[in-house]
Amino acid sequence: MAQQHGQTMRPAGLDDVQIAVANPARFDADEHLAFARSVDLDLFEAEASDLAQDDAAIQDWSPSKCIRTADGHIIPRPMALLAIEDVTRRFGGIVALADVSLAMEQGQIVGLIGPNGAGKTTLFNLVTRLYRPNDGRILFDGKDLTRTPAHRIARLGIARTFQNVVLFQHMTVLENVLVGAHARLRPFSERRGRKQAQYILDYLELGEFGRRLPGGLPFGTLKRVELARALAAKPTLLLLDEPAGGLNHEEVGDLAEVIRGLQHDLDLTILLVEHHMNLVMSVSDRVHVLNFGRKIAEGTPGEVQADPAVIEAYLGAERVAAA
Amino acid sequence: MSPLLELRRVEARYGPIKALHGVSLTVADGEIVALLGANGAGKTTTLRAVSGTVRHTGEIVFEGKQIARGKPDAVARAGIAHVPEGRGLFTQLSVWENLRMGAYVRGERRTLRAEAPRVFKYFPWLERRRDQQAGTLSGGEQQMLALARALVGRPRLLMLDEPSLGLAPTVVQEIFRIVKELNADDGLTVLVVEQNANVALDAAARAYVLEVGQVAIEGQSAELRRHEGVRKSYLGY
Ligand SMILES: Nc1ncnc2c1ncn2[C@@H]1O[C@H](COP(=O)(O)OP(=O)(O)OP(=O)(O)O)[C@@H](O)[C@H]1O
Ligand SMILES: [Mg+2]
Repeated sequence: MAQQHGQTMRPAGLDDVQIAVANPARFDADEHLAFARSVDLDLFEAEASDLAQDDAAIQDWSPSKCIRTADGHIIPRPMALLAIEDVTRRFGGIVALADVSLAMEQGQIVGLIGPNGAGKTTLFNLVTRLYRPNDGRILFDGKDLTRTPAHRIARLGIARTFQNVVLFQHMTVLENVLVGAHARLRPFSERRGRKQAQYILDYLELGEFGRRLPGGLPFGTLKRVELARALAAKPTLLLLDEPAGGLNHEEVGDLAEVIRGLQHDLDLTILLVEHHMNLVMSVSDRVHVLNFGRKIAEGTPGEVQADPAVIEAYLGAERVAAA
Repeated sequence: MSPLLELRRVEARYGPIKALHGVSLTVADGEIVALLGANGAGKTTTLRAVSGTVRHTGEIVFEGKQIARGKPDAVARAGIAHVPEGRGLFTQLSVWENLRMGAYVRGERRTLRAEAPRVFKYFPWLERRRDQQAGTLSGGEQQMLALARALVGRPRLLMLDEPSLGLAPTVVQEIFRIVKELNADDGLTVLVVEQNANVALDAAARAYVLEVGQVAIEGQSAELRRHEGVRKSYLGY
C-alpha cells in the first residue's frame, strides 16, 4: 500500500519513536521515486496529447492514491505528513472549527490565516492534543493523533510555540529551552541536553540570553526563546503561533530568513499562524484561510491574496489598494 | 501649554540590566503620540515606568504632579490606563468581570453600566460573550477586551503597548479608527507603542524613536515618514 511507504525522514537516534509507527523503514525520496517509476512508467507513461486517456487511468488508479508529476508520470501520492480530515470542534454554542480539512506535505511551509476567532489556535490545540475534536481525524505520519495521549505528542515529533508566550518565569532562558529537550530526548543526558540547548540558542542568535530570566526580556526575544524551546524537542513538524509579535519591519524580515532556514537546514515542516501578511506571504508554500471555523480558501500566496472572499473576510480593501 | 505627561531623563533596569538610559519625552493634552523602536529598545519599559509597574529614576510628571513611584493603583486612579503587551487580563474571570475591574480603577462602582454600551458599540461580539472566561478567548479577542477594559475606566491618558498584536489587518485599522475617534470626540490623550509603524504614524501627530533605551529621533509623523532610517527599519519602503 502506498501509504505504508510514506515514512518521513527522522533525526537519528530516536528509535523509540520509529517503533511507534507502522513501518520503521526510513523514507528515501529517490528510492521512493525510483520505485514509483519502476511500477508505473510502462503502464502510464503518456503522450501529452493523451491527457484524457491518462485522466481515465488516474480514475482507475484511484486519484487519492496517485498523482501526475510535471513530466506526465503517475506516481503514488506521497503521504501527507499531517492530514487534518473533516475536523469539528465546538465550545458550548461556539463552533470554533467546522469540517476543516488541511494536508501538509513533508518539508512544506503552510500559512494559516483568518480573522480573530476563526479557529487557528484551536487547530493547533487539536493537533497538539490539548483538545480533542468532536468529529474528524488528524493523521500525523499516518498515525491517528486523536488516539494519542497529549504527553506523547512531542515524542512523535510535533512542537509548537504559543500565541501568548508560555515560559517558566523562575527558570533561566537556557533552562526553559532544556524543558523542550526533556520532552523528547530519552534517556535524557543533562550534559548533552545543555550543550544542545546552548547550540540552539546560538543558532537563533540568543546565546547571550541563556543565563537571563525571561522577566524583563523584550517580547520579540521571548517569542524567539519559545522557538528555541520548540526546536530543542527536535520536531519534524513545527507549529508557530504568531512568531512576529514585537518585531519591527526589519526584524520581521530577519525572522522570515530564520523560518526559511529551518525549512532548508533542519528539513522542518512548518505550519505558520500569523497576522503579519508580509511574513506569511513571503515564506509560505501554500496558504489556507479560515473564517468562522470554516475553510474559505486555499492556494498559493498569490492566489489567496487575490481571492475576493479572503479580501472581504480578512485582508480588507486597504491592503489591496496598497498592493 | 504644559504637557499632560512629561518624562525627564528616566532610567530603569531589570536586575543588573539597564533598559532605559535617560528617556525624555512629552505628550500634550489631546495629542496622539507614537513610540517606535526595535525589539528591546525600551518602549515597553517606558510605559511600565509611567504606570508604576517597573521602578525608575528621573522624573515622570502627569498633570503637573510627580506620579506615584511604584504604585500602579494610584497611577490608574489618576487617570492613566495602560494596556500592556500580553494584555494583562484576569484570565480566570469572565469578560464582564474583567470589564468591571476596568471600571473599578477610578473607584466609581456605577461606571460600568454607563460605560459598557459604549464599548459594546465598538465590539458587539463582547456583549454576546460577556460570560465567557477571558483566558479562553482567542488572542485577538483578548486584545480587544484589554482595550475595552481600559476604555470603561474613562482614562485621561491611554497607553497602548502594541495594540495591533494578534489582530487581523482589518481590525488593526478599526482599532486605530476608534482611537482617533475617541481622541477627536472626547479629547482622549494617547501614547501608543506600535510596530505597525504605518498605521501608528497615520494616527499620531508626533512620534519618538527609541534606540537602546534612549530617544534617538523625534518629530512630526510626516517628517519621520521621510526619514531614511525610519523608512528602512519600520516602514519598509
Ligand atoms: N476553551 C474555550 N472555551 C470557549 N470558547 C473557546 C475556547 N477556545 C476557543 N474558543 C473560542 O473559539 C473561537 C476560536 O478561537 P481561536 O483561539 O482558535 O481563534 P484564532 O483563529 O486563533 O484567533 P486569533 O487570531 O484572535 O488568535 C473563538 O471565538 C474563541 O473565543
Ligand atoms: Mg489564535
